[in-house]
Amino acid sequence: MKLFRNEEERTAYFYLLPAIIVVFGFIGYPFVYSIYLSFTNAGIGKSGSFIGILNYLNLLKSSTFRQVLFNSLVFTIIAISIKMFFGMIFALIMQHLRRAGKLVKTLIMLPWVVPTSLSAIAWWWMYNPNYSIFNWIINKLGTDYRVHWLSLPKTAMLSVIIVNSWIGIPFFAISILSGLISIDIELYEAADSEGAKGYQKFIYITLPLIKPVLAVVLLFSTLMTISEFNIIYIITNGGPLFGTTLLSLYAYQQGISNGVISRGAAISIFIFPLLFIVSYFQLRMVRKGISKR
Amino acid sequence: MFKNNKLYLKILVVNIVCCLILTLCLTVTTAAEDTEVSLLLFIHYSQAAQDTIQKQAEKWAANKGVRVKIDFVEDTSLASMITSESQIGKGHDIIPLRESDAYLFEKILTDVSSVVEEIQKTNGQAYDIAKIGDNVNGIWRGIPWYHDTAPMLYRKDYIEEVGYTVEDMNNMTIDEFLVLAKKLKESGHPVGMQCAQIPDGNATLGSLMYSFGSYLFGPDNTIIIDSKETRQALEYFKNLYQYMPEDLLGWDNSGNNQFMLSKEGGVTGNTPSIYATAQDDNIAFKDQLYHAPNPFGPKGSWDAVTVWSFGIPVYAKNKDLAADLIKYLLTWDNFYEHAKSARGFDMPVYNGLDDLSIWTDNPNLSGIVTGKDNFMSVGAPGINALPSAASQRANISYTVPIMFGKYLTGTSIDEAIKWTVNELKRFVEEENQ
Repeated sequence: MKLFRNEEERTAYFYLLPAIIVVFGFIGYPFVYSIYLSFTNAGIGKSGSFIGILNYLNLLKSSTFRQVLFNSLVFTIIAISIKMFFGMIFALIMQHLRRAGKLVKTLIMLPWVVPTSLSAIAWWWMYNPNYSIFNWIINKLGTDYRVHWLSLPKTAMLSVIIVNSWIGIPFFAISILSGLISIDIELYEAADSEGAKGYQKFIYITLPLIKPVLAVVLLFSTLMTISEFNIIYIITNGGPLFGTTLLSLYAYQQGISNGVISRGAAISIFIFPLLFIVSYFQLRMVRKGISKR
Repeated sequence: MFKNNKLYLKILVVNIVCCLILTLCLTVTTAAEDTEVSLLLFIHYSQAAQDTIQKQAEKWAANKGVRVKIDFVEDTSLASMITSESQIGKGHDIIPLRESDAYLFEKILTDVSSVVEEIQKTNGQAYDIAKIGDNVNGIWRGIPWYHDTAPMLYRKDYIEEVGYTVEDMNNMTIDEFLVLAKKLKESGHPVGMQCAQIPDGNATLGSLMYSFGSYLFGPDNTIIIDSKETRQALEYFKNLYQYMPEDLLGWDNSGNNQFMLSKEGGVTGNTPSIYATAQDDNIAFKDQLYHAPNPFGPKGSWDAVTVWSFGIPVYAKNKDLAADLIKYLLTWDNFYEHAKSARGFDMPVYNGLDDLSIWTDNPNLSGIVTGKDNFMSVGAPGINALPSAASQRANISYTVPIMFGKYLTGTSIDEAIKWTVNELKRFVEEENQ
């Protein structure tokens, strides 16, 4: 039985070899090694021994870990919803802009383009507990009310969701826009001739046809959002009271800062099965959508 | 196979060769590294102190005919950098240790007992608090460098407005402090004591707990946090909290600095960095900033002290040179040059380097000097307990500030303490694994 169907296929795999080596070396090996570490009691200065699923059981018993898991799910669901909603609005706006369209597109893309660390520092300044510019504006509007942006767990969570959404909306907008401009305009013309209203065109033409794009964007954004680290680390460092600690930060704190490497690995790997299932079903949905077309 | 792909083949070969060269550059040790001593240090609040260390190290290197490289990083990133370096088995020749890091990193630290003995011959014995943090099971793993302390810092003009004097501040009980806090809030210049998940939070709340006789651990890592004294400390701080800014839990380490330097703050707990910054920036009220011992509780007044030390990791390439550099930095002249440039932030940790005139001759700083008997190390497990990896993990995980924070934000006192007990149990289990 031949390994390759033809010479072209053999050449293709040969050219893919460097990429395969890089992926295996920088992603595959660390991933497999993390799985191994999560079943040991390795720590700083000690390689550790096999302890089975004890790390995972201890995580489930920990109220802090349960809180972190909950934070991650809440953060992801709310941030994704906001990004999807506003991403769609901006995409529709950009689709219909003619004059000044390029300028608006550039401005919309800015949050995505600016390095995340710089954005996070700027937002931290704006949320500053002592000198928040937002509170200053609120006071200038005639009220003494102060929003405790970073001082209470719930408001701190809202604050970091806003930052993550602000950064992520352009990704949604541009991706959805690419889906929108690929829709045949004759479909809308046909709908117009039938007397369809704007929202009807959106529900019955636009949404179904951009579903594959939405699915892909949703998948990528879910993976990126649930593994958010920079914003949390810079703005709140997971506080107050673990109120904004997500899985990635908790894994870093436990594994790297505290030196309990095995525990950090277990936290990192914990969500993998769930993400795998979510990714599988979303990609299946994408393939179904493409095959129906 | 490549009949029609010669160009692509050339590109591929060039790419592979470049990748190999890049990999070699990143991994192969050059001869130059063998004569270079690298230090990992934290970013000091005082640029002048950083410059002094840099200058001293370079002078030493020039005399020795070697090179020196110092990397300054955020102190909150140190533990993670050290962990990462230990995992790859390669990194700096000298690393900084704070408080009881020697227990946490014991397995990757070289035995430096001979270096410490040599230094103690010229500098006198290290303070007990330094020995407790750096001497692990009879072996020195860290070489004490200096200590910093977090006493009360206050605005003399503001406390005088509400009827208090410097003498009152130097002898204040915790009950009197509560009364002062109420008066200062009414006068518009409140107290702001750090209690967030930050090193300052560990310091403030740690010394408060000690003043009540509340401790995390007893001997042999027995967990004793669930006590009447802990409840008293929690209740006291909740009473104090009503007179403090509402955003305390969101402060970072610079929060109280901003608070005091903005003219808003009346009292806080901090190292002399606020005073030094005010001097350097020539702020109008710079001479109104005074220091005083922390308020006296049922078990006295306690100074939350951080001892900074040098460690030489087992993976260091130039251990002998590293030890020599450390001994050079700890000579009398060099230490005092460093202490002066740090504007009183960095204080001696050897009995022979005990000239405290930088502090005692300055009325604004003299309140810091309280004597070594009431030193407690930030993150210390308890008055009758030696540090351990568990206690240091509790320290760097900000377990105490989180316990207080939970109670301040509505969790019952029993639940807050129960959470803390569970966390401490986990740290002990991890240490015993």
